[in-house]
Amino acid sequence: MVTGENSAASQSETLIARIRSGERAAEEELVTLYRRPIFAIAAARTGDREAARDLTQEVLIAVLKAARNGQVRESEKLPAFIQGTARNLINNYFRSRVRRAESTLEAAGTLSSDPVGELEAAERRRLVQEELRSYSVLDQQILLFSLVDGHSLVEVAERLKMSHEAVRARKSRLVRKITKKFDRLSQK
Amino acid sequence: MDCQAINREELAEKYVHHRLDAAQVDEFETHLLECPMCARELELLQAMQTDLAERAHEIRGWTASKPHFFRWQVAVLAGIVVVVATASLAVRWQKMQSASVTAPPPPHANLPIGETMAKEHEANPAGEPVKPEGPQTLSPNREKQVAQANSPTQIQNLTINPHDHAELKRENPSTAGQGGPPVKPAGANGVNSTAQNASSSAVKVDGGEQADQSVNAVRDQQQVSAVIAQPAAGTAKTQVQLTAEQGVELYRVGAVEAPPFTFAGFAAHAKPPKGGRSSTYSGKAGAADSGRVLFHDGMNAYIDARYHDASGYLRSALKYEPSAADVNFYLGVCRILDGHPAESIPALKIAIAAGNSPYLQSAHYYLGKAYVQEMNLEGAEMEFREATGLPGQLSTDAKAMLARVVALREQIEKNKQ
Repeated sequence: MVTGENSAASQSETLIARIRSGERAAEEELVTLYRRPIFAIAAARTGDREAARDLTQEVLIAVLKAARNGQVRESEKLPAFIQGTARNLINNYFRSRVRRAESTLEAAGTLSSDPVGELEAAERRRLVQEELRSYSVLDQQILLFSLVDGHSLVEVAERLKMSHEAVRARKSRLVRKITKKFDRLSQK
Repeated sequence: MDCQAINREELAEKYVHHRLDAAQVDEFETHLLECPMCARELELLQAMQTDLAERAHEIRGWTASKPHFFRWQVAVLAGIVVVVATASLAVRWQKMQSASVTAPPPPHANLPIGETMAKEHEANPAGEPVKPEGPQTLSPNREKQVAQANSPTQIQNLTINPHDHAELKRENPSTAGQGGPPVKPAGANGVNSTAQNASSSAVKVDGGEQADQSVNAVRDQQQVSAVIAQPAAGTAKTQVQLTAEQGVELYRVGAVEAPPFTFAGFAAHAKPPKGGRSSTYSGKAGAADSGRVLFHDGMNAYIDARYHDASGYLRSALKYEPSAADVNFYLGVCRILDGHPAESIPALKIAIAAGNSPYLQSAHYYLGKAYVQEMNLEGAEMEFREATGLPGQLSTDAKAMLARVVALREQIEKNKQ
């Protein structure tokens, strides 16, 4: 694990160094690497996909800007730097609730659109929907009550007049099943 | 933070429900940026959440089907029932055929049903049961006529022979205003249906000799047996006489329409405070959050007119918010609409006790309705009077109900005298 972490840290260092030296491909690599998790974080924090899309772009631009200007001091801790940037920008968004003006950064053009990524994301969502709809009523209710309503498994069991153990087993089976399927799709 | 701990502690789920503290959030998010697998799992969770949330109303409305292994058994049983029913019908039809061939037709077999029964009435004015004389006692033709005479007008034309009339009344209780045992118009079930329905099916009257007169005319002349609660005496009840018209009026006054409900300004589940910083959010959904979620579910069922289900959710919500005016009010309304007015009374009283809530007038009004259905007219009068004196959209309705209840009470007093 330590070796893996070291390897990831050295990759980050290399990436930052390449960006700083003005290598365009390195910037694209960073964007490809971090766009999806940043979007997931922004979506989870804001609950608004549109806002999350804009915020993802803002975070990437800010990170690239910092990398170009040599402001990423501990380059081996790039993920932590990105997380901090994302957190600050999302908090700013909540404070102002006003979308920021478009950046004039040169790289903005390459970041603004990712049609392939968007299509892939839409396809993944469609497949998840299809999979969920194939589940039984009870299974969908278990997932709804726990994943959307945020009820604990005990509360779900009480509402559905089932044992806690049965609800736990069902939910865990469903999540495992869909994760497996989703993993296969993501690797395609 | 590692992937195993994330899976074991279901941190992704806690994260999307804002149940992690600020430090855990930072750590989890940093891990997401380092670990594509966990990031994918979070994406999946979000995709599932989105789809389920979009169809939440639909999914909540579903009733879980029986386990799979029951389905073929049900199909087999249904098949057996169909076969047996078909066989018995065939046998019966064969018997009827052979009876009509071997026996001469009854004397009035070819007359219209009214005339047939008139002739029978002439032959048997006392209405004594006619003993069967072989298979032709009730010819297939006659049996068919009786079986087909289900509409009120047909039945009114068929009321010559008291014996037959009694049979027909059993066949079609909705027109049986002239016989049968007296039933107290307790109003618990069927009050929400139309007044016409209530007057015909739930109220049955004593006596009933004038069978050939129209149903309404007979109703006006006859007395309804009713049990009126004496609120001062607690549970003691007194038998009083109401005319059928008064009984109908009682049901009309007790009829309830579901008050509207909108989800305006309602949060489906706990959300972090504005600013989005999880550090100020405790993470765990509090009692009020759980109560609101259950109330929300209850009102979803209420909107779908599933008042029984709604009552269940609202009762659960009361565990978290026992004195919430809205929960108690809608629980009371649901109990009335579900046919249990007595159970609505405590909830509506709590809604009233909550004081100056938006539900105050409505709670008085619906409590009045519950009292009417429970035959507690004195209580109903008090509640409608209260509702009349309060601001709200129900003032006019409450006034009208008050006048009708007062008039009814006066009539009942006259009946007693």
